Amino acid sequence: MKMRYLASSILMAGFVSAAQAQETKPIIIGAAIAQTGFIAAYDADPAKAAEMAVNEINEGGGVLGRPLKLIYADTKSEIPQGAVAAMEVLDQGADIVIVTGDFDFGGTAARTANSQGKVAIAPFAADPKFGVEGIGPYAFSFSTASDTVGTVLAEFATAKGWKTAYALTQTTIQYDLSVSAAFQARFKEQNGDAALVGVDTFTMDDASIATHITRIKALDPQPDVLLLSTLTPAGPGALRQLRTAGLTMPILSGEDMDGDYWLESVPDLSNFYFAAMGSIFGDDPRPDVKKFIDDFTALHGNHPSTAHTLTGYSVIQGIKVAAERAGSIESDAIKAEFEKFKDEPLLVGPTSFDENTHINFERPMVIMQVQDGKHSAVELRAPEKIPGR
Amino acid sequence: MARYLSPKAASLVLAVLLIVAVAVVTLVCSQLSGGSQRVATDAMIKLTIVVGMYMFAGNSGVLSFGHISFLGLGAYSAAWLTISPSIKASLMPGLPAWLIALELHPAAGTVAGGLLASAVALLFGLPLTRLAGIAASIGTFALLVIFYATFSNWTPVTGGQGSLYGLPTFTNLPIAAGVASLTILAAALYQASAAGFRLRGSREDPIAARAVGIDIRRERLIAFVISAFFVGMAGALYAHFLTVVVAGEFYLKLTFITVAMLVIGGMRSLTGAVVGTAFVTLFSELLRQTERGFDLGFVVVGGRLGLQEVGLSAAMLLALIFRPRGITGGRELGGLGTSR
Repeated sequence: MKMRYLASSILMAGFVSAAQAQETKPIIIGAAIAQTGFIAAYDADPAKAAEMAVNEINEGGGVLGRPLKLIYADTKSEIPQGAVAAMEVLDQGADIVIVTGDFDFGGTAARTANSQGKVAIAPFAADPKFGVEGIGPYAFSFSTASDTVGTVLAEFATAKGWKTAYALTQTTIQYDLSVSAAFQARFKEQNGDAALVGVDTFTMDDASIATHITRIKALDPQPDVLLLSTLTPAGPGALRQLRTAGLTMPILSGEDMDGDYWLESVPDLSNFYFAAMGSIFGDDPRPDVKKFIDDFTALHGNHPSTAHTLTGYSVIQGIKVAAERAGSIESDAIKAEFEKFKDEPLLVGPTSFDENTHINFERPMVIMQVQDGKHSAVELRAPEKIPGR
Repeated sequence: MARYLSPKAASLVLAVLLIVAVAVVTLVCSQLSGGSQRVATDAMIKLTIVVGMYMFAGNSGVLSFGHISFLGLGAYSAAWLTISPSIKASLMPGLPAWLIALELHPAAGTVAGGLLASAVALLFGLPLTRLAGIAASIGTFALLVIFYATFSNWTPVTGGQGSLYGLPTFTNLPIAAGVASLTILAAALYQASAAGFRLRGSREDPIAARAVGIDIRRERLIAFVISAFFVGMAGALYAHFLTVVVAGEFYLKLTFITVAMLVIGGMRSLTGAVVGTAFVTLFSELLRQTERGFDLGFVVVGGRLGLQEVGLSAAMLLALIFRPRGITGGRELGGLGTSR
């Protein structure tokens, strides 16, 4: 695909006159993301998905008649280096900047782009602070907000007829705290305050959650469902300890437990559910997502590591839509068009922004399950009412 | 030339020469692209840290692993004093009401950061300066651990593991270079002062120093407090440079890189502190550029991500093996000043 783009751009360069050359100058999308360090594992697949979108769009004639071009600068998974990486892609003429999908690790690059008046997009930053409040007016996240994840999980549990819940939360990152808070609030709204029979927290440093398990086992009757709001690498360990201790009730988690790379550490896992932006296992209920996952798998030899990958593709889609409506790639024009997005059909789902909300709340999520160590999609579920909104 | 100058005059000439070098670098870099300017600004802040550390470590001979906590204190002071009250109220609800309501200019926050770091250095310096040799260095390391644990867990006041945002952008290349120059001047004046001589005397021979009536604890404490002031200011500048404060920044990585700068340059001279910072910055930037791969015209060299870390560590090892006293070997520029 790349070769074809190369060949066509050489041909194009050969034929167009000097006056037109200005017009066909590529639109540069600068990715100031982690290519080394521990965040690189999260940034890699969304970047590959963005490349796929760029190639497809270029084959179809580009955006505003100009090809898209992705350039990269490594943040090394370091917070200060994010600013340098952002400046580097801006120095190379980036029109729009893509940053790491995390408020802390993508924040410095996004703030730098903002200070230069350039739009900065985090494909999968789920913290609602990523936007006008925490970064600046030019910052957008194409992720679904953490509040939505917690809400969808609570509403799913209620729909399943699970009457009582227990929330066990890892406090290391803000995401798990917000997912848990939204879950607790929504579950209580639907089932009454007494339905939440207990809450507990643990940290990354707690190798064993034996005391937490003892407290859950002491409950009589046992809760119908357990929320385990956690992330890897601590999450699978906690999950294994819960199951080994004989707690067989359904367990719910957020997107941080997406993917099957950790599944071997919890043998024969069953009755485990999580909410994700899509199914990476080839059975997403939406045909376009299923097709994308198939294409990705064919191209790269393995399925995406997590559904965050969908956001990388969607960012490029969104840029194309906004640029063509605005007839320009100028930051203010793009920002204005983004803010007019109302259920814009992107790969990851309907996407809406307004002047103050630069992240998505009202977007359906796919409920995934693991039964006998196998992943499958349960349903596509839209949030009914997000607490506090 | 040096032998005809009084120690004070020689030290001043040295400071002027080093400051001219800083000014030239600043002028050249201000003509470069935004990315390069950021690298240069970052280097100027590191220069302030390293020269600040040198004031204590170089003159006393006690290597400090704790100065990055002063950097953190400066950065958190900047956050406490300059973030707008509405953001402060939601990020740091544990702050006293009067502090939440306060919104100072970044320059005032920078000086306040230095003062707070000095005050804390005085408090912790009282027990720390009782220790000698390796025990003293380990003591400073304990300081680093204490402050890191506090920064990352005192959530209502420091934001805990999350980042504090909303700091105004203030630090640019001229400001960072200005503060670095000020720090160089202060270091030169201090090492030519009577207190500086007494402390260096104690470094060379503590028993002889005591025999001539030098109170080593007192001299070390003075240097510790002064050096914390400049590192604290650097911390505030760093906060206004990143426009975000995160506890994880003020721990081992930055400690390693700044100590490496001091040791590679030669920790027994001011010139060494400056040369070490320049060398490590240039070398690691060169490696970082190489990581992306480059085109020599006839051959394209592919990038190797991660080269910076590997190369830097190797360089440090080589420097320690072949020049254990650092690049400058503890001498000052042109024999100026008073290394011995």
